[in-house]
Amino acid sequence: MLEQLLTGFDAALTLGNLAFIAAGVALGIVIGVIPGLGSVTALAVLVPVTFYMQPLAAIAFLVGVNKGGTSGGAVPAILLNAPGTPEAAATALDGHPLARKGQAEKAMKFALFSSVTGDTVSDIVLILVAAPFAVVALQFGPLEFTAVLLFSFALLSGLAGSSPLKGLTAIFLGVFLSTIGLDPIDSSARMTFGQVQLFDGLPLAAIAIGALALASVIEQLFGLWHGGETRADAAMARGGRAANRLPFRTFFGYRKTLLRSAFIGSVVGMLPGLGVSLAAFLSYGAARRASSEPDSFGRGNPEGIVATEAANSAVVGANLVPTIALGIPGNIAAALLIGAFMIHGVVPGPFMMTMHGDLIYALFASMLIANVVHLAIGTVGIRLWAHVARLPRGVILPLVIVLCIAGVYLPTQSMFDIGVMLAFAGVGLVMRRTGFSVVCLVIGFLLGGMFETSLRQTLLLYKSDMTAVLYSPIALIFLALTVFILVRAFRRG
Amino acid sequence: MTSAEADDDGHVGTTPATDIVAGVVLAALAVAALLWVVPAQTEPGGGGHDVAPAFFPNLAAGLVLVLAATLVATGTRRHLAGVRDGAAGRRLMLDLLVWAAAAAATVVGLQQIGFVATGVVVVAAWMLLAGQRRWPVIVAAAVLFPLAVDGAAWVFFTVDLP
Repeated sequence: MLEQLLTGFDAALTLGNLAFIAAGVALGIVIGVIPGLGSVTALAVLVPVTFYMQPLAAIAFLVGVNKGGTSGGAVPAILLNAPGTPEAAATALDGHPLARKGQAEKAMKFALFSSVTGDTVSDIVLILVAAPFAVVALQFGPLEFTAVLLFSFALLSGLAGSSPLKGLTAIFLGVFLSTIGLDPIDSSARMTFGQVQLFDGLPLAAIAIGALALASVIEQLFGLWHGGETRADAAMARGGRAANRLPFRTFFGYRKTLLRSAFIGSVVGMLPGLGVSLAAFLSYGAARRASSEPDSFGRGNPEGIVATEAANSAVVGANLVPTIALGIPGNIAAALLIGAFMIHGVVPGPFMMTMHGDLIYALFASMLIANVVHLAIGTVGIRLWAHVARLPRGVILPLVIVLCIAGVYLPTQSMFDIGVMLAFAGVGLVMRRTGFSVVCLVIGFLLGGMFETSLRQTLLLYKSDMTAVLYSPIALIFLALTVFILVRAFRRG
Repeated sequence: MTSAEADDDGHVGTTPATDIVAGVVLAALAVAALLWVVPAQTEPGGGGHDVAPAFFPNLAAGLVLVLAATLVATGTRRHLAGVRDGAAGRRLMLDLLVWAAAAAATVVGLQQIGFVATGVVVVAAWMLLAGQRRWPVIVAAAVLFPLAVDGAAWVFFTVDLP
């Protein structure tokens, strides 16, 4: 394997390939910063650009876009508390409070370094264990997925918001909203009121941007209207150089959290469909439980940023495990990458390693190189973004509203989506003020479709016989953990 | 933070009364979903061992109803224990009304006068609301930013914003 990897490095270390990786990472970061235009939109727009490239350069370019896009979302989350995606919302929990203490640059450094570390760990996992872990992933059927999703809901309810009761309510509200549209099994219309736009369900991007980013922006604007600039605004604008320095030792003081989070992200990434958001919140919860100061989370604890960014970036590499080993895309980004593979004559699946071994190892090498490039470009970017942190919020936040409108309109060109986004900004505002977690609502909506499909498949597969759960150790473990977490959360209030 | 104090970002602490009102509203919505929306807007379907299309929406709405009722009960218990309400509700209603008007005006503006003109008004109005009073900054940001976004959308994505 080492020999093949060295040959891969030999093929990947060309000036042209490096230029494409750098361009991909830079484009990914810039597009990821704009609410609504994450790595998926960037990949969708840029796949056609790769038609005339060499296969390795094309796929390395797209992998760069994916890596940059995933970490770019942390920038508005930290600077403006305006996350455009649920996983960036996890970063905002501690990133924005740290920025408000005048350490925005430091928070972004924590995010970038953690992202690159998590990404590198998951790339190594991909290279070493792609095939064996794909076999483990195959053990997860509908019953196991249902159990994992219930476990995730229980865990999330305790992490975000002011109480687990409100967290669970928000999750199931999101799950209910996810049922609007065509039935996933028999395709009959549900709660569409005859509106064609609702046949595909409520638009996820519009809900996420409205409830997460725009609600936060308008809440801050209303805060400025009622109270003017605060001491925290002044501290954020000042942000001295010494306060924003991040020594190597300080960062690697969080090595346990880094490794744990990269492991969580890698495992979640290897299971098709679970996604980046879940990895970020599971990792955040694990870091808080392991911490000697759990109450400091949500108040600018760098460990919160480290945990979420290392985990969500670890998903990027690990998502390619089922993609490469089985031909099953782990998420939408991986599905787009499969499209790119096929455009260039490479069919992902069990025979990919034997038929295109040279290309795959060159791709692995390109992924590791992309992490170094990501670190370099991201570091330069932080200096630029740091200037944004020094601008008055009263100037920046109104501009974000315009960006949100454009960001939602661009992928679908639908006025309906803009209306949904504006409506959910109002919903998000009410939820934030009444202590309900907006993140739980969005994740409930995001995972609701998968939860319904896996539950209904389980009922069909086992003919509604609930004792089937007794024959699946994986499902039993996750269900027991779900009960344990819920009982503990409600006892603590 | 006590019941109705706002933090730096304007977050307002929740009170038992807020929880009770939120619980009642959610419970009412869940009951409406269970008794009217789901039965009227889903087809019977379901065959063999598959459940009906209405099963899952009903399950989710039912869980929301149970959780909302629990929220009302815990809120009532806290209220009876002496924790009192503040002004959170009034300020929330004011902000929500302002946002509803602004959102409606934005949608109408996008349909009638287009993205750039609406963007100019949106940026200028929110800057003024946020306390910005330097006119050169307001004019420059309100005019240049929507124009730049509109241009970038066309150049990079060949999408004509509304």
